[in-house]
Amino acid sequence: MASVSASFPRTMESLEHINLLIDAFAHTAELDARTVFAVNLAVEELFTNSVKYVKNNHNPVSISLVRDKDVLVITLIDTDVDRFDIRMREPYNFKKKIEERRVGGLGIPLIHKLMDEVDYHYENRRSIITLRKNLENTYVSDHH
Amino acid sequence: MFQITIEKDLLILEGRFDASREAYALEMFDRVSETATVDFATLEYISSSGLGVLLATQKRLKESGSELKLINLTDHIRDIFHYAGFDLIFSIADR
Repeated sequence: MASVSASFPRTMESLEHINLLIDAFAHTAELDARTVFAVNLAVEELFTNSVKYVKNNHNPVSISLVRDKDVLVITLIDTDVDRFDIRMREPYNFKKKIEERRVGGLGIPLIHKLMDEVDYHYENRRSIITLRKNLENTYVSDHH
Repeated sequence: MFQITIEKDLLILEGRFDASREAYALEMFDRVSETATVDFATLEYISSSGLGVLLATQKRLKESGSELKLINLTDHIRDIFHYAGFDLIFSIADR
């Protein structure tokens, strides 16, 4: 089993350090390049949501990455935040014409596309987002 | 590290296009007012933030009959464009 965890200041500048953490983990956990790209993208989308939409909160954001056999688990914990459930009730339409598309809002649908499971738990103003990716599967899950 | 170099109607992207560079990228893409080619050969990574900059630019250019044309996407970035449906709204070529 390979695992890393760290907490990061709630600023966009943290993305560079998060990338370094993911690179180090990817090496230890022997992730392929496609998986590393997906992990980078999923973690960035989660973290930037914490930066952009949580105001007046100076708590760091905790990120952990675990590979246990063929399952990769990404966890992001954010404290003193409002509830924001990232699980999707309806499939996102990626086929919209350009005139019908709005800029933004693509991050969470892409997380669902790249990961096999997306869980959300909220208690005592603490949000825990857990993403799971089966490394035996193809890159993209078919059910999103 | 992310950098955009503009040479006439060619924009060369280099490095990691993440949310920390969105403002810089918007400023650079705002300089494009006619059909231009965007070279992805040295781009390592792009997130939804970068996709948003490209979409905003494409929407603006299309209003005047112009567009961004994309070349040299790496396999992983091509995958993301496909998943996002961006291969339906951008012309993508090998060169």
